[in-house]
Parts: sequence; structure tokens; C-alpha cells
Amino acid sequence: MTYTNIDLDEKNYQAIMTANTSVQTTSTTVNAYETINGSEITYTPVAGSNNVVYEIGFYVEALNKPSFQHIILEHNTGSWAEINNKFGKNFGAFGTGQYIRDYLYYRFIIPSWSGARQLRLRTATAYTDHHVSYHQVTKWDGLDSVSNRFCNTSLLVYSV
Amino acid sequence: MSYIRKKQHIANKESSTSIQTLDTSYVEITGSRAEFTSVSSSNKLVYRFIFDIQLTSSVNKWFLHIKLQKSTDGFSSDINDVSGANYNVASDERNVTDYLYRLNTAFFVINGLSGTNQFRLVCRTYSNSLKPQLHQGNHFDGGASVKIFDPSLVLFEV
Repeated sequence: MTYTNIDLDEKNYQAIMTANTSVQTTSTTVNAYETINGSEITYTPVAGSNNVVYEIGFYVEALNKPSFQHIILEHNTGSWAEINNKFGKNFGAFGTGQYIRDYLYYRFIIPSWSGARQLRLRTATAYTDHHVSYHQVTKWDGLDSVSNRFCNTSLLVYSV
Repeated sequence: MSYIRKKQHIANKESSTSIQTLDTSYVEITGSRAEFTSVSSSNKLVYRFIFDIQLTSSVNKWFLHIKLQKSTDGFSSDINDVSGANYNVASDERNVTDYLYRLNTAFFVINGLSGTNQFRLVCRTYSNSLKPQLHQGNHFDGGASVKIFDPSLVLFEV
């Protein structure tokens, strides 16, 4: 007996789960961009597709401090570059003594292309010391100062 | 004989949602449960669930632990946390007040599951003084109108 598993709706789904095992603390230096762990993928769109959808979820904390991050989506067409500044966004809590604990979920719809291309999400601080920490959950189940709990980065890319 | 197996794609929206109050013990979030049968353990599942977190009338800040669980017996006795599918979401828990109203999306890619599994999202509050409510906003359209948001779930295999 033979089974053939098919997608009747061909979108060339590519999904990556990255099990984070360490905290990623962003630079304190202004506009020093770094790649968010688990955000990079090489993707080939379905021929004839109009757009590529890039969906990502990851965890962030900034505790008892100001935070302000730029997020940009980049592609590699021979060298890495921002796809379009319209895909950029800011997040954070400006001012002293602020607290952020949040799960960030973003969806970008990008014009399609031909062949394989790398994509990644980058982050940088807008002001000195407005850095954040990704992936590590420092309070859990009602306890303080938890050091061994992390949140996966989940990434899904497909053609439409 | 050959068979063609189509990958399952679930899209559910609750239609009779009511307010859900929370405590310091984990409870299942209304609308987050689904049963899914995978065609291959080498594939991945995508779980995407959207729900509303609102202030109660008695607190002015909140703090939630949220995690994804799976089961093979309808969460009767086989209950397992999905590794790494957990996060906190909170308003500023230190300041006296932080009126945060939040539509939250839980988005997880799950590796290597075979056969039939049930999934659900559970949450608890960090403490008794940091309790929000789910699905119901108490202030809408510029007044004190109560508004329900129906949570929605998408679960599929890729």
C-alpha cells in the first residue's frame, strides 16, 4: 500500500522552529543591527506567485529600563539589504523604569521573486542603552529570577 | 493500491464566547483547543491563535504565563507542555497603573508529531493582584459598553 502526501493548495510552505537556549541581548550602540535568532531562511517562491508571506513569532523582555528597537526585514540579492523601509517598525517603552514582557508576532507580505533568496529580521536600538533581551523568560509559574526557560522562535514563509 | 492523503487545515472561530476570568492556576483559554491528525512526522505543524486580553474592573495592571499543551487522550491524563512554546505577556507590573489592552497572537511551529494529537493554550496569572480577563472588554465605543471578541484558531501541517 502506498501513501502520497500532498498539498492541494501549493504554496511551498517552509517552517522553522528554533529552540533557543540562551538570551540574545541587543547592542547598546545605536543602529548596530543584528539578526534575531531563528529569523533567517532561504526561500524559493512558487513560480507565478505574486507575493511571499513571512510570519515570525519570538519573545522579548526589557525590565526596569527604557527600550526602543528598530526592526527591519532584509533579503540577500548578492549582498544583504533592507527590502523596503516600509517593512520597518519600532517597538519599545520609552522612559526610565519601564517593563516589557511580550510575545512579538509579525507578518510581512513581500513582492515575489525568482529563484532562491535569503531573508532575515534585524534589530537595533534607537538610543544608547535602549537595548532589549530576546528569547529568555525570566519569570515563570509565579516565580522570580528563572534562568533556564526559553521561548522558541517560530518562522513560516509561503507563496501566495 | 495507492492513497493520496491531504494535509489537514483547521480554522475555528468561537461564536458564543463569554468573559473568562483567570487565577493563579492554569486554565484552558476558550477556543484554543483542536484535534489534529498529521500525515507525516517529518512535517511540521503551525498553531496560530488570536485572543483578547482586557483589564478587569478591579485591577489596573496584569501579568500572564501562557503555554501550549498537547495530549493524545483529550487532556484526560496525557497532558504535556510543548517544549519552548511558552511566554509571558504583561503590562508594566511595577508601576501603580498600566492600563494595557492587548490582542495577543500565539504563533508556534511544532516539530515532529505523528498520528492524532489534541492541542490547547493554557494560561495563569503571575499573582492574585495581576489578573486580567479574556475575551470581554468593558469599555467600547467611547463609553462603558461591553464588547466580546471571538478568539480564532488556525492549525495546519506543512
